[in-house]
Amino acid sequence: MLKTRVITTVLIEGSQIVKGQKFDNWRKIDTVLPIIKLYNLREVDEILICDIGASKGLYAINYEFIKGIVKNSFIPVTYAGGVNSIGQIKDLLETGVEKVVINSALYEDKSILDQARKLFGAQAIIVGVDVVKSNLGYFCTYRSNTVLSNIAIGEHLSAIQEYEFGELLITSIDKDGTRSGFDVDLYSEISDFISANIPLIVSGGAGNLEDFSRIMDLINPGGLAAGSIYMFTEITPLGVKKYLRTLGFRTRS
Amino acid sequence: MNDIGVLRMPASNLSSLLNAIEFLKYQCKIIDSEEDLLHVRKLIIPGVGSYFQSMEYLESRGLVDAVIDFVKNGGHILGICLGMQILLSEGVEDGLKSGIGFIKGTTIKFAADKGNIKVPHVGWNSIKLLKQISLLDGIVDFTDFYFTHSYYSSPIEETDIVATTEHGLIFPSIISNGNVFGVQFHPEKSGKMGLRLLQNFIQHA
Repeated sequence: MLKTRVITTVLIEGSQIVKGQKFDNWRKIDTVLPIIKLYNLREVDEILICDIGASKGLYAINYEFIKGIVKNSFIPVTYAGGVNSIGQIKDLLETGVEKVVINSALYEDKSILDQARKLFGAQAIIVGVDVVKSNLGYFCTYRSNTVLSNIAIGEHLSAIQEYEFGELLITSIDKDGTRSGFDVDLYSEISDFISANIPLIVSGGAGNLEDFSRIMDLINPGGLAAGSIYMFTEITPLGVKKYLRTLGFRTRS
Repeated sequence: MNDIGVLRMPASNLSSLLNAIEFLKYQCKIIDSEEDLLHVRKLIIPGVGSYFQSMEYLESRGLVDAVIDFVKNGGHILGICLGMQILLSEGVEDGLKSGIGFIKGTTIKFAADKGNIKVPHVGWNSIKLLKQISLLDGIVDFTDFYFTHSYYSSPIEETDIVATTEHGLIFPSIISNGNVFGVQFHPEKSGKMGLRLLQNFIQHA
């Protein structure tokens, strides 16, 4: 049986790793690589690279930089940020990235999912959805939360599931970086909208070990993505996996 | 020392595998022709993509016979994912197609409707060892490896099955026959234990 994956999110641009630094290839490699090597040592199951700057359209996808990360990762690496064409997906997969997240582009044209599946296989494609809560409910936001749509989360989830893809990565923007727990209310509300055949990765808010077990109890997701907790607390991916195993959940040993 | 070869396959991305071999501090040669094969002793066959197209590619370059001769002459092979599946007699993806045929058997597609499983089978899953071989030195029962595939190999002879994995049903995840080994998972993406397996193959499989 498949294991629930403990995924570390590495934010590039605007993240603590590169905060205050002007965009610069080599300096970023130097800064990020020790972290990537550390995650490999700590037995993380998957690395999620989110390039916020590329997502906002500030610059193009930096393939050389991603190549440097993949070269030092002997586990699957997923890339997110500014992906809107088949050519980009091809180039990303050629760097050795295992999976590519498509998010903002889907608000203009969802047919890219069909083309990508035919060319690269459904397993290579993850649909990313960023969500914020308003008084009227949960709504989709994109381009790294610079564009707030008037599309309700349920509506978007129904529309994208007309297509075939590998996984669904749903990030709670309200919780992201807060370390105040996964967005239990959000995931409870949307679980009815998600097909049982699509693995869900939850993202945003993990701050302590109980946050992981709580979301496991609630919806048993395929992946648990977190970033800040591993940067700013003593908790490691290995620690999370051990903790979940003691509670009877299946994680990679 | 340049006696490790990686067979180039269509639509297959070699970079992760090459990174892993480099990390282990070995050099390797990318194999495009029968002549290239003369210079290596160990051959890794990677592979994602289509069974049918991959075999057509190898046939069109005379590489099927070359690989068979390579093994006859004492060469060792490790097939990864699709590279494992083409070690069998035949595959059924995109139509029936003969494989290289080191191991008698065929490929089968996971049925999503049976056992309520997700297809493709993607993620970390454990192996159950049926026997211990040198490829698995230092690798214990129930070690997790990273899988991504929709078809699995089904050898006819049970003695060719080294380890199995469960995904709705129990399927062979490591097979071997003589100098020929196949793993359904991706050792180059399976962390420490994956690197260990690659090292085992290179050093003494």
